[in-house]
Amino acid sequence: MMSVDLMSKLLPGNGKQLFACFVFSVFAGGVWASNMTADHSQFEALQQPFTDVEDINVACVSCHNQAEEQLHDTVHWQWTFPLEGEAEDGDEQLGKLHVLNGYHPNVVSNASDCGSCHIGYGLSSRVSDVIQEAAVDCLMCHDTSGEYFYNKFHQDGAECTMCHDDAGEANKDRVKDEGERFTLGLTEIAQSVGATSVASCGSCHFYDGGADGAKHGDLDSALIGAEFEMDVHMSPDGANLSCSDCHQSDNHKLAGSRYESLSPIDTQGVSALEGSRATCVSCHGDRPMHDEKLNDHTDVVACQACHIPAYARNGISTKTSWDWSTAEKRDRRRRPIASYDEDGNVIFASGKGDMTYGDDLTPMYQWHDGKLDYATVGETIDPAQLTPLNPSQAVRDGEAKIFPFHQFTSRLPYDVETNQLLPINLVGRSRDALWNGYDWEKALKAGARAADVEFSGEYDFADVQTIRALNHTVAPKEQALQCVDCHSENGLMAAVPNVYVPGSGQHSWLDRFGGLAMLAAFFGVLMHGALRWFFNRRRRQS
Amino acid sequence: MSGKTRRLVLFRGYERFWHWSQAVLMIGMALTGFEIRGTYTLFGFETAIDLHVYSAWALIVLWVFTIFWHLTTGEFRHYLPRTEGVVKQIEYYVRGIFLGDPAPFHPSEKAKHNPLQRLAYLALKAFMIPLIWVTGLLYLFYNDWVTTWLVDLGLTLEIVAILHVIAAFLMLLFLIAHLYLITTGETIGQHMKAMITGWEDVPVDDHHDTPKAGSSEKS
Repeated sequence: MMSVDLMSKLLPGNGKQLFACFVFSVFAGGVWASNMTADHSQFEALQQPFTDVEDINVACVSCHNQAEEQLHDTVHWQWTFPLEGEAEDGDEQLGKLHVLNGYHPNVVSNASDCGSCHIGYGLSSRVSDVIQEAAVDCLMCHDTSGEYFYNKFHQDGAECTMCHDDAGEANKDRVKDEGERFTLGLTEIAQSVGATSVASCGSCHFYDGGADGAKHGDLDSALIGAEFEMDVHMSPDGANLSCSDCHQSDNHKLAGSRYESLSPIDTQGVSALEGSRATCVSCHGDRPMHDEKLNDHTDVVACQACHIPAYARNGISTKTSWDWSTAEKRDRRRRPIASYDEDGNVIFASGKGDMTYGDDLTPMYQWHDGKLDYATVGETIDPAQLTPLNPSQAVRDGEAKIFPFHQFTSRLPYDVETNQLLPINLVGRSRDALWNGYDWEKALKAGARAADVEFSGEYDFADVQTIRALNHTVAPKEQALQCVDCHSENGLMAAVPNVYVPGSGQHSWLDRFGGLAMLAAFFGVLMHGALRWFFNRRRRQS
Repeated sequence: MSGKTRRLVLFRGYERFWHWSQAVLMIGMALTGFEIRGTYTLFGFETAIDLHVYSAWALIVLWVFTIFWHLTTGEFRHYLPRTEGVVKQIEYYVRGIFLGDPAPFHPSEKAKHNPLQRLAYLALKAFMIPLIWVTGLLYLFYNDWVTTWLVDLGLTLEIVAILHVIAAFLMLLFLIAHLYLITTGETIGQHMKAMITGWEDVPVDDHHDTPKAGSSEKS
């Protein structure tokens, strides 16, 4: 008992939790990575000249014989949330496979190319309901050389445009700067497997949405060896954490999901034995600041709201809008074209349309309880209005917090007769693919057919909005929001309902009424005084 | 000035200390308070909050002592309301003061405030100040009651803030009237002098506690 008391005294408040997380991450992350108990290069199973990536999987599972089964039961495999068998009555099927967003709107007939980020060895060309269990591509996450995903994406038939808006043109300079790739053989890659890293997770999660940092705004390749100002957690100058230190795994299931985020509603720190839950509070507790008045804010304001004061801060732009309606347009010889802004961002591509970008953006703030209301393929909309594709329905209920979001608008095709948003057939060798034939009608017909959505043949484009909760790129505390950022006229919280922010959006009637009363009193006494002076003078004169 | 006067110690040392420190603290709280409300920028939001909160605690300590002083010295009697003389005093402010009529009231040991002052100070002490205190403390300790039954009664931070600001406006109205009325003494500076030095020259009267009307006629 004494040691517990002593620890409470030495590490008051959240100190204990931070210490616990530190201990856990040392065991779970740091030490493991540099000081593993197994040297994979010595394993017989890996001492063979691999020529086929799928043979590596066979070698992995010959020892790790439970791993595949575990992975089949994860969102990383199923792209479905809740997982198969975990859904309760009334749960909508979410996950990459089912939801619709404003970037690359849908998987369905594009599965073979979306599959470049799947942790298997490719998906069939049409996937709409379930991803069948198959061999797992262990190297997708466990390669430590940084070369595997280049092999995988670039040689495995992935569509360039999935990760490069302009099919790679804009990246040519970067390739020159970074020198040769593909210097390692599969055997060397296989023998150097290890823990996941910021780089290995980032090989998919940094490049979705068409380019580096395009989709998330709080995830981009600058986080690999990040500067302290970019991210205090992942920077080697800061906590030097890896993704998996917070997104800890249990049988390959990682903590943290945007379909059911714990971060806004978590209120309790966790013990070292439990490990982090990928929430701020799990390590920091809910009153981690030195100023108690600041701590008082955490009942309604999420940590992220103040500590991610701006996003896309790392010098890598994030997409702010995407107008699909202008795709199709090509040059006179009917060749696809692309144009760039001065930073090299692709602002137009024949396969995608017009796109805009932003840096150092101010988040949009709203109530969030960890769940968003996602639209799915075939969603009916009102084309006259801006349709939120994944709005937060949260209200102030004692649990929800005010949370920062990246807001992204786009124009997506819909059927003018049914007002349904239409799936797009983007990829493939047929002229039905938008990125091959540059013909909207054909691409929409093929997309609708694959997704079993009715299509009248008449289409137009409607404005939609996608939001993404911001959780990463926590800034140094000196850069956190200051009081007056919110506590001032038209402060950052001005548009958030159901919260009274002193100093912001005050009651003008009260000020008017009070001001008038004071003016009246002031002129009243002034008049009284003037009359006193006047009568006094007259009396003296008479 | 005709007639005999005597020097009356109207405000004792502690009372003057209380009055002036309270004046400084309250004016400071008004300045910082309306800055927190967003009416203007003066010290900066964070500094304004710190000053406001520290002033509040200082004022609370001052008041604890002052309540003790009121009770132990019996000074609270000066604030018990009386109806007698109220109308006269109002008539004086509305009419007599312009015509050069003598003031209907002069302070004595037993009654150092005129009947209207009694009512005004009672309203300040028994209504306005408690209102601004209670709402101010609720404001400060918002997080400690937001999870309790008070919320079920419909109390919100916004209501607390509105009441706090209403109380602040009432105090400001009081201040305007107060500042003006101190000029209505025998001379413009008489009342002010009394609150600084503590004493006032009052006309001597046979009846001890009813000041002699008409004694302040200018000679």
